[in-house]
Amino acid sequence: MEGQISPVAAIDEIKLIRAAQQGDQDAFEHLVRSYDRAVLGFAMNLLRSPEDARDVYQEAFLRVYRNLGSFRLDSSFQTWLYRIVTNLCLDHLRRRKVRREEPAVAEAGDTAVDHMLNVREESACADPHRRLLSKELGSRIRQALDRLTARERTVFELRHYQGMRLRDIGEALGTSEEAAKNCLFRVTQKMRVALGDFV
Amino acid sequence: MSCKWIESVLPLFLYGELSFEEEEKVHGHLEHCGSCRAALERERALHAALDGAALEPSGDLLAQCRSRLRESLRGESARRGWLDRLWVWSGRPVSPALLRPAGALALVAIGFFGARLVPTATAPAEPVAPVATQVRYLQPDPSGGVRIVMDETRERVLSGSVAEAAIQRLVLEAAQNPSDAGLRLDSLDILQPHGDSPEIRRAFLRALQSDPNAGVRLKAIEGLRPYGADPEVRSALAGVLLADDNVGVRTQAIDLLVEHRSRALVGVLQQAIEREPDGYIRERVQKALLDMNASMGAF
Repeated sequence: MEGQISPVAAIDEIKLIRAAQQGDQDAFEHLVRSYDRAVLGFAMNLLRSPEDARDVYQEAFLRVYRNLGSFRLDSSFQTWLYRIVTNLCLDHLRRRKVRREEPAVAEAGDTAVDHMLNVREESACADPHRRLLSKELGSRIRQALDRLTARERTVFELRHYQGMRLRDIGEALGTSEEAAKNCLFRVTQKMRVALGDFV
Repeated sequence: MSCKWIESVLPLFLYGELSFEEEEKVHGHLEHCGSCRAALERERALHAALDGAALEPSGDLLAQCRSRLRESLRGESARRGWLDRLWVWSGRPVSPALLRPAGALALVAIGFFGARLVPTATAPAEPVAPVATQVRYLQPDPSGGVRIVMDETRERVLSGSVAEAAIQRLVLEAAQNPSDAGLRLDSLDILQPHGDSPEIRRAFLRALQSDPNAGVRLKAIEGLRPYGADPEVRSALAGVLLADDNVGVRTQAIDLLVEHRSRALVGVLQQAIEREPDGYIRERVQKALLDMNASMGAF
């Protein structure tokens, strides 16, 4: 997903927000639909649990609905939304840690489309050796992602999969662009170490 | 430039998160260093592998989420309905979170004023115009109560043409409202057909140069478009091209600047090419310089 929106879309979005702030339900729904697939994907990748992702989705958009009146448009809506979603995801991860739960790895089934299993295996299906390697790579990536700290995972998900700029990520996480950059740098180093002999 | 440094910044290079100068250094180094080119290829392979690891929500899950949210919003909207009706004159929905402290204060105020007014209230209350109130400060009263100083804002509707001085003044003031970017945007929208007035054009220039919201700055460029040949407008656009942090705003600025070419533009474009991180804008600048037979750099 590309994180930057075009100038025309930015103006349209301001109009949508204004209308939603005046109580226009259609405008609010439009706003939700501009971001909800990405938000759900982000929560699912971070939490690796469709049920938790569904709860975060629900709570995040309800919070947006309840607080939209006080959103002042001087920061980006996307950054504000992701600040809410990120805080909810981190709360889930913290609660999970307290309960000493293992991260519930989402199974590709009715609720998730796992690209590693579907796309890459499809391209390698003719060659059993390649299929095995591809499966092993997928499992290594998941293990490596699970070993990252919650903060590292968040920065990585926002930059790599959501296409957000580091400056906006810093703002969403209440930190500096430099701190987000250092965090992303650490993640790429860890991933390179974990996957070095595979890629 | 060491290979070690290049290898360390390759991930950020691929994410497009290096400064223009750093990116230039990497490009320059890669041209003549085979081992760093190979490292870049490895980094690209890692990116591609990670791309494939994303879980995407299925259509079913997304549909479930949307339907559950819609149901909750219906409940929220019914719960809020009475509040909205009560506050309809205020022109915007009131957050229940804001009402909690206001409610508590209202109870204090009702107790305080009620105790004094009820025994003597013999005449029926006069209907009053709706008023938005805000507590400015409060202090304990020597008698044991509380003294509350309120600011009251009374709603008033005015209508008329932007050509009328009083209306124009209000719209120009709204265009500078520091706390509401949407209001500033709407104001510029309304002022747009009246850019012939120097005062209105100044409002667009002010918004372009100093509004913190990129959407408002873009609207200002839209309003200034018919005056792209005006020296004051060109000077503001040049400043934006060189310093605005929003790529969309800089894109609109370069597009409008190159519509009216002049020799004075060359210096600005030469500076822009040195510092512009965005590929599209750099290309536009390069093309404009070529079209004007000017060199790419200032010597």
